[in-house]
Amino acid sequence: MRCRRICRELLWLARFGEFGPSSQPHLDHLAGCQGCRDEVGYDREMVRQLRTALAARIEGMSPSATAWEGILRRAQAPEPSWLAAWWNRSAGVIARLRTATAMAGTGLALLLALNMEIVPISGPSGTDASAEVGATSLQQVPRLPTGRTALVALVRQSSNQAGAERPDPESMMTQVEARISPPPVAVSDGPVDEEPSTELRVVLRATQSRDPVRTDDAAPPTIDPGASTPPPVGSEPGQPS
Amino acid sequence: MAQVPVEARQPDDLVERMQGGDLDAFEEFFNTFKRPVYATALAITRDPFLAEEVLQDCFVKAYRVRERLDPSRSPLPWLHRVTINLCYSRVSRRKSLAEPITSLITNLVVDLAARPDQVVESREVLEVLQRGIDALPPKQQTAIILYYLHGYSLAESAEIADCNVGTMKSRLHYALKALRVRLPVERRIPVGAPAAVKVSTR
Repeated sequence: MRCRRICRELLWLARFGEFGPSSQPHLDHLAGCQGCRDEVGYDREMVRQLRTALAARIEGMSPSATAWEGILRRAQAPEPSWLAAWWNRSAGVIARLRTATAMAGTGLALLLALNMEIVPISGPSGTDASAEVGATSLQQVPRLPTGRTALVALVRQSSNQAGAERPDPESMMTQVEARISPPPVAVSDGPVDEEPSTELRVVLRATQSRDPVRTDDAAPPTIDPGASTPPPVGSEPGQPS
Repeated sequence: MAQVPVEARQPDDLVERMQGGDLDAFEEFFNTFKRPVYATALAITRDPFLAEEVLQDCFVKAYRVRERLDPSRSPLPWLHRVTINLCYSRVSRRKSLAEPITSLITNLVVDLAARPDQVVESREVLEVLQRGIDALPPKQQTAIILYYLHGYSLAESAEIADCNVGTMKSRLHYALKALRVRLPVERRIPVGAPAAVKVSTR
């Protein structure tokens, strides 16, 4: 065994007085090792000082003569009911909960008031340098809703291949147009034949793009001229939103 | 060195009489156990007024739950446990923890280096130890107070601290280790170390 390990075990044995027949190798080592003797001797000395320090804490101190009177008075006082004890205990918990709720509420109100967006932050996933460059350049693009990011990335890739300028992201605006057919007017008391339907149409506009990018060979999406300036949903009175 | 008696003797029927509502028995109970309880409270808090508050709380609680005390066993371990819990709840409420001791240790090293022949029990070293005890985690502090101040055995200390003997040993070991680190390097070499070790190979 190494001296350091023996010394550690010796300290343990000496502190708790656990020397026994199995400790003979340790004692043999102790007899011949000045360093271990110093360590164990120092530990014993420190314990002696520790006892002195602890005794000094209480030396000459005793409870005052009025302690018994106070105890007797309190012991004879009626014990508080369990309801009061429960209320006292729960008051602290409630106070803490109140503070936490106020903080959370303030944070939420701040979030809503500033119209902030919580975006998960993640590091670069790929090891490719070009991907890193792409991610860096993407950070310069004005923030778009999450669903459009992939589209912009696709356009960026195509533009880089062509050596063209960076397209204006506003030119690739995605528009969600909601057309909601009005509910059928009840002309009779009979059952309604058709259910009210809601139509959602996603239109990709590229009106201002200098170099419109086609992502596939399919025909470009049809732009409904009547829907180029769609009224805001629910702007007309009487229309259900 | 003043050491608290390990076991305060109690009349056999003291707890039974107290359970019957005898206030004289309660006073006797208080006089029998007040010293070790107060010593524990004072050793932990180092504040006589706070220690007395803890003492009062402890005995009031003992009176209120007297029906649950076992007359066949000494109530002292239970009293110690209640005292320790009360002390730490109050100390944590007051947030009275020890201040950093780095500057003190630095001064000590310089001081002791200037006069290496000074005795081991210097006031400064004791002060370092006191601050080191204050800075120990509560469980380690409890362990050294029970074992080194009250002189309880490992088993008794473990019973009071509500842990097993191995855990108590571990707490003592780490407490001593932490205290040792706090002492200045010069003091780690004992004066007359070989003479301090007396081992029996029997």
